[in-house]
Amino acid sequence: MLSQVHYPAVNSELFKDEALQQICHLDYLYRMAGGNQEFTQMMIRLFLKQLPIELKKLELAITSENYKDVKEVSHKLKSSVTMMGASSMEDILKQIEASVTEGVIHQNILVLHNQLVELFNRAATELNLLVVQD
Amino acid sequence: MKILVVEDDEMILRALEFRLKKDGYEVILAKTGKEALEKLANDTFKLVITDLMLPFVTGMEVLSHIKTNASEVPVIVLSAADEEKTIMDAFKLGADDFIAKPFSPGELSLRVKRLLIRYTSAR
Repeated sequence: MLSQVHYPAVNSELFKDEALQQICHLDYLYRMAGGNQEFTQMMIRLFLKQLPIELKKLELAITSENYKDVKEVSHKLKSSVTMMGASSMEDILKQIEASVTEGVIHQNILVLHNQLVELFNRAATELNLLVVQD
Repeated sequence: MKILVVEDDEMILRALEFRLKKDGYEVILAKTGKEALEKLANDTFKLVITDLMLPFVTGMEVLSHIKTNASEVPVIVLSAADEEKTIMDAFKLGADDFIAKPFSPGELSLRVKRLLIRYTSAR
């Protein structure tokens, strides 16, 4: 049984300044693609398709207090968001993962998840501008 | 040269496939450890790249299977850089190299090439 510790509320000030900032920085993806547009498009579409599913899994794991799954899903998601240069999302995932690893559940873990969803929605808006419509 | 890639994260899987094919290798994909073991039973590979955190049949089990049944096949394990203990355990089990996720494309190419040269010239 993981112990519950009361932490201060997640700092929402952090996001005020970042409200205008770009979420995704695609340098890594472009470097990987080496100019191959088809690959870039495929990866962006995969990200847009995969993330909502994984974020839903994460939410379910959190609400059902399945912290093993919370850790696994947030750990896995880190690779995908890092590939898209979404460091703000990566930071939140690290916070979620760390709280489970350390055996102390942040009382605002669901708030962190919601912030993740918000960031993804912003990322999706950015990325949808890059997707070539079929 | 045929390489087996075992990874349940679709984005990482496709990125690995893309890079390895670009380098001229034939790439076979497996999204689970179970699928990997099935492919290993039915085919021969020059190299295996496997994630360590796979559901059900883990990357460690895949690695252990290869080192027991096909020790001539080099194995590169993929993991997050902050999983030091897991990576050390993989090396103790016989992993030949390790690449951190998300991987550097240049580093992947170099490590694959180096292992293939080493294992090919050792025969």
